[in-house]
Amino acid sequence: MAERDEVQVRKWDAIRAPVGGRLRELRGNRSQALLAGDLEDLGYRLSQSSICRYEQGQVDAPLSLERLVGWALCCEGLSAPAFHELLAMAGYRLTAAVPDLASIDETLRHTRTLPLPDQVVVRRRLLWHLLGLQDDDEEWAP
Amino acid sequence: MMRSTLDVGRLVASVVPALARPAPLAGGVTEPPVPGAGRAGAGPAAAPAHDAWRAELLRRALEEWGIRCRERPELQTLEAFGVISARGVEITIAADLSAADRALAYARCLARLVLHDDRQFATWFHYRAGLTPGHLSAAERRSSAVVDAMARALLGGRLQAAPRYLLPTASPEVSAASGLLGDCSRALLVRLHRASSALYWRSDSYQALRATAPMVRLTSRVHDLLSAAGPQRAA
Repeated sequence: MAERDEVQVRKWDAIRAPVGGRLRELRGNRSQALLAGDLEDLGYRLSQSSICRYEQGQVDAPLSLERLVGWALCCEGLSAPAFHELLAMAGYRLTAAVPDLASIDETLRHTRTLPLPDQVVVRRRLLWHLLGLQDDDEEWAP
Repeated sequence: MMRSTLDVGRLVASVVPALARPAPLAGGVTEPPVPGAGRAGAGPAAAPAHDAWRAELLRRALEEWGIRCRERPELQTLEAFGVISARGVEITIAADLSAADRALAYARCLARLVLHDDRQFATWFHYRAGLTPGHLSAAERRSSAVVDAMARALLGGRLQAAPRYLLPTASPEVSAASGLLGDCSRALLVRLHRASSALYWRSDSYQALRATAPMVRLTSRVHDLLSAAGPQRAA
């Protein structure tokens, strides 16, 4: 594990239990396996057990903004109060306006009926817009 | 050259004259028009090359105006989709489309940009023929029909085949006539334009009728008569 500053460790220790609760709330009725699969499709390296450990506040490394946004995106929970509480707890901020986040959630629900490959392409593009990632096609190729 | 800000009106104005021209042949020679041909200047054998040329023209124009264009092989049901956000505008198109479908896909995306000129966050989805999901609302279906009709007008370089008020370059009505007559003709012209746009949104039949040559001539003449400002685009 990479060396981390004491202040970072203490902050994460203080918030990781409530963060886990909000992450669980965001997941809703989705199974951990489904969420892990959706995150993997987006390029995240989060196993089902990692998801379980995050939700139980057992992960030592702080949750990154990228993982937090990916989690909410896969749960169609970008406009959920739990997501905004998570951002506030972790000290993160997204530039996207709240109505835009609600529109993205709506778009994600709208595309749920599409074949998975179509969904993955759409989600990756939305993730890019949320985080401003400068990806290229080769980097994102499955 | 990359433009700094997206101006859909200028983008459309820059690309339509080229789309209206016959396709260039190898060596930069322009193919002469063929009377009665479906596409200006393109016979059946030249059609795929002409379509590929139009698709590339549209893609280059979109990219020149800062719109990121991607072609992805994974898209199965979607023909294309677009995202407008504070981060910019981008469109993604299925990579396996034929030349004609690719040109139409880019034209549809351009038509979407015309209709979403408010720069708010927006997404749109265009489905492959026969794969449109059943859960789409009536408004979404109407919107798709209008986008398709406008795209075909754009692709043919015939902006006059679409209602003037749906186009980004429409300007407030001017009338050379003054006084009561001028006011009346202006008011009537505005109402006709609005009625034409409204009908275009609601009726597939009107979309087809509006694109016919006699209707384009008729609307142009009515517009010129009421605006009395010389030849202008049709209502």
